Amino acid sequence: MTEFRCLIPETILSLVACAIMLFSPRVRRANSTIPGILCAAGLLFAGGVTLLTWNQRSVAFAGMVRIDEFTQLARLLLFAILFFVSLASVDFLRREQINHREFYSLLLFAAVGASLMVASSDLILTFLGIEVLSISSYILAGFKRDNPRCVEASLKYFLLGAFSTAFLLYGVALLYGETGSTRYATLATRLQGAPNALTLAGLSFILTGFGFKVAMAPFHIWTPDVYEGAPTPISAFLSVGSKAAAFLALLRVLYVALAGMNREWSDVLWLAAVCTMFLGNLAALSQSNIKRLLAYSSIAHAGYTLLGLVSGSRSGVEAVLFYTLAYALMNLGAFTVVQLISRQGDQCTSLDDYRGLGRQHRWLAASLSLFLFSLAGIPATAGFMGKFFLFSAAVEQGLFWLVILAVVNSAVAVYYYIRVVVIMFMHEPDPQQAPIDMPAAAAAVIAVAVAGTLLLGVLPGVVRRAVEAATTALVQ
Amino acid sequence: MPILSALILLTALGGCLVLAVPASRQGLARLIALAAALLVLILTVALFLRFDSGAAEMQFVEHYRWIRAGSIHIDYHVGIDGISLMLILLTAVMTPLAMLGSWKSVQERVKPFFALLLFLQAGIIGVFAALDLMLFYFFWELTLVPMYFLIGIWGYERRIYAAVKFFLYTMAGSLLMLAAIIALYFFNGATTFSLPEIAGNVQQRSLLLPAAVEVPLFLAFFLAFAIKIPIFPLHTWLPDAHVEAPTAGSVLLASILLKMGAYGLIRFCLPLFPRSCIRLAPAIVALALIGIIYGALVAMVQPDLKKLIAYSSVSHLGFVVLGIFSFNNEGLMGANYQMLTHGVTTGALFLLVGILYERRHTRQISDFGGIAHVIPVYSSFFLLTTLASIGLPGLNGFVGEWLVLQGTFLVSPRSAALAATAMILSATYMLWMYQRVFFGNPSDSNRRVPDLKLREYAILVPAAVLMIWMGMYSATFLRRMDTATARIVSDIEAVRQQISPTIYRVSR
Repeated sequence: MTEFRCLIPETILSLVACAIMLFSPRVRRANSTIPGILCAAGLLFAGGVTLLTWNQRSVAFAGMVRIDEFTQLARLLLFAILFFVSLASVDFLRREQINHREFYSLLLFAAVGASLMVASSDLILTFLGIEVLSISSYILAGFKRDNPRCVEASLKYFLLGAFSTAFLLYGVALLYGETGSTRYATLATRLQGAPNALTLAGLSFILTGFGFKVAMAPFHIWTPDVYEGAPTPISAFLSVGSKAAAFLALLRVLYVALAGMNREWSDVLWLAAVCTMFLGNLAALSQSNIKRLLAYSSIAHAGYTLLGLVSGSRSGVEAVLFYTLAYALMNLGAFTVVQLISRQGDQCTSLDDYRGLGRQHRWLAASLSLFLFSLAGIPATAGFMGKFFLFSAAVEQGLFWLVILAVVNSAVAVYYYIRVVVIMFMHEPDPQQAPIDMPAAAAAVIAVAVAGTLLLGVLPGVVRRAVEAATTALVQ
Repeated sequence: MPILSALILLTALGGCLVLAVPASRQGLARLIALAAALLVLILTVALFLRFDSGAAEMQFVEHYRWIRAGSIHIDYHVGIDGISLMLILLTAVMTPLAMLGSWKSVQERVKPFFALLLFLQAGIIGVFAALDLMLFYFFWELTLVPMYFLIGIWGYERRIYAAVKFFLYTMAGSLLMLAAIIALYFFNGATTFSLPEIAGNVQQRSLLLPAAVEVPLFLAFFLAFAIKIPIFPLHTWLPDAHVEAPTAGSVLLASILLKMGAYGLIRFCLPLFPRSCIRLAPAIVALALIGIIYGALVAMVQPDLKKLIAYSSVSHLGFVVLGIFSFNNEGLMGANYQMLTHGVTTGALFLLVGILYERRHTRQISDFGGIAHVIPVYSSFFLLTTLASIGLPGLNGFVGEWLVLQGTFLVSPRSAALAATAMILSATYMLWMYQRVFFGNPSDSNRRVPDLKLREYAILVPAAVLMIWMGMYSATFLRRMDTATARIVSDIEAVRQQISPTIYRVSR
């Protein structure tokens, strides 16, 4: 029974999710905010429990679950992301008249899945976590049932996602066939020495499965369609939450379970990083829809994050952790602004709808500019510091060419980010546009994102201790 | 008293204060901005007076720990020597003038305009004061954003194109510099981004990079600075940005932002990569010469006043590069002085063109003619500035160019001869422009142009005083740059003797 202590946050979240499903039919009003508040409160509670048990270090369920600083930090990050997504969703769902309580239950189940992924120390549990997260996301992506684009996005995501998790499972099976175990610790000891065909195939299948989740080339094709069609808060969740969970789980898989195959996976990821950056950035140049633009940008950012993985060092892990945090702040902020501007029907997502926004909604335009500058990597923003840490980690390992290619990519990326800024501030507004509602919850999310982006950009040291402790727990 | 941080903070806070003014009180916003800029000027003059021109070390140094993360150690480390002091002074002088230059012509979105000017100034002072490579990069990039908005929002017809081009050019160059800064950090043992420390290691040969590493690193820094200066053939963003920017933007761009590039060469390239500088000097000098002559020739055929001045900047900044890469006292001193004089003179030219544009809403030379009779006072100020720009002895332009030519002559008489032709060319294009704009019979549309107003006197009189002062008694300014210049030259001279003691050329 004591082992269940390790999974208190997940238990809380599951219970709240079930409670929302079971009890809120009693709430008759269609636009009730109670499920949303419950969901946010549940996440807050789970986060609080995680914080209180920060120093807990334990291995439970015969080595399947491992709780250490890395798990705790990853959980906190994921719960925070989900918390902000649910806050931003409350008014969105009411505006779109799809205020069904299942939304929040699914969001919570997604949180459970993500949390299991980062707490897992066994490939089977990792797979289960991914599945819980994915199945919730498939439904959430198609939550506007009467909108064909939304349904298309959901279906596309489901088919390709199911395919990729099958790859992942097959990879797990191959590694099991070779080593006789799916525990990370056992894999680590048995996968020393030269790899054979079986382990190589297992590694590449596992990378395929994770590659799909983090939108790594060549498994990134689904991203723009799904982000565009999905309800905007869910696009934010997919680009930030689901990606962060996959990256963090991948860190543990690569640095612990497959540490012995370091040379193989770092070569593969080197190439994947370069392809991801180029494909993402070049495609983003010609986008005329903000959600597609952010989708390609999020592909490119997966490429930058891979730099940290490729470098395979302590500073690499630290850089990935910091970058995930920075990326979560700026992308959540950007998507929340996009959600407000999309107006009734989630329709106004073309770049033309941003004309003259700087005139009509100064603060909204200024915040979006800050997020875009941060994504572009202008100093004094979290995005710059994150990129700086990633580049430093890569240079430290002598990966000069990778850094040069990443730098070239960052320069290309500047163009499409500032194009949006140009449209907002340097074009005249269209007087026909409908006004924009500014619900307090979404405004609060944006304010927190702005503050975080600036704080991490100027004083990145505030998260240093947590990041270092997590890295130590992971690398040992 | 941490006066350098005070300067940066004061300017930035002034910008925030301007933003906080209610939207209906635009006049108040302008006044607050001007007051902040004048306060900065007063502080900077105090800095100038308290500066010890004999000391070899950096002065007014402030050093705090800033970022510690893993193997990364970034410090907040600022300090100035004579060269940075003079450039900060130039910034402090030109910013209020630039504000006055756009006082009336900017009527829309007044608050953000003046706030951005102050933010820009804060960034520039930071660039000139930073002694930590990452801190420098922070400020370097931060100057980009306000300038981008200044051009893109308040500029003329093709402003968006110009703003985006400006942003992309500069950003592309500086990102490579970022990679080089990181690489240099790890080559130096991953302990510090401090410029004095790394430069000291280079000087004592404890950081001796092989050429295959040093040259690419040098080129990454050089590219960032060369785009900013700009050195031929990387200059194409400059005419667009200058022409499309509002007056205050053009003034700050020409007077100060371009100097950031040349300053970067002196402050970073020379001490960090002396061997590469010496090795690649012939190629860089060749580019500078091409820029000097090409800029002058292209300036000659420009129909647009602002474009003409923009190309003349390419030519004048070529002299700065030439002076830096002559590696002797005269050349470097001349380069430093040329930066200051070009800042004042070209800033004044853009202000003058702005004054004319407010009256006639055109900058085409062919639209003018004969206005010397209509607005004699304005024409006199314009003539003075034209002569200063040509390099007439007694005015400021002469001192810098003469020193550069002297320094270059000691190294390569041929280069000096080529560069000297540009002084003739500059006389041609400037005087020809003056003739077409001011002499002849005024057309009907030019007959009713009013002469200078009080605000415009307030802009032009200080500029004129500076031009004459800097021409007549350059010692006020040169004296404070002596020690810093001599130190940089002696450092690079020592390296040159290490490389090739036998072919060391006697330069005096």
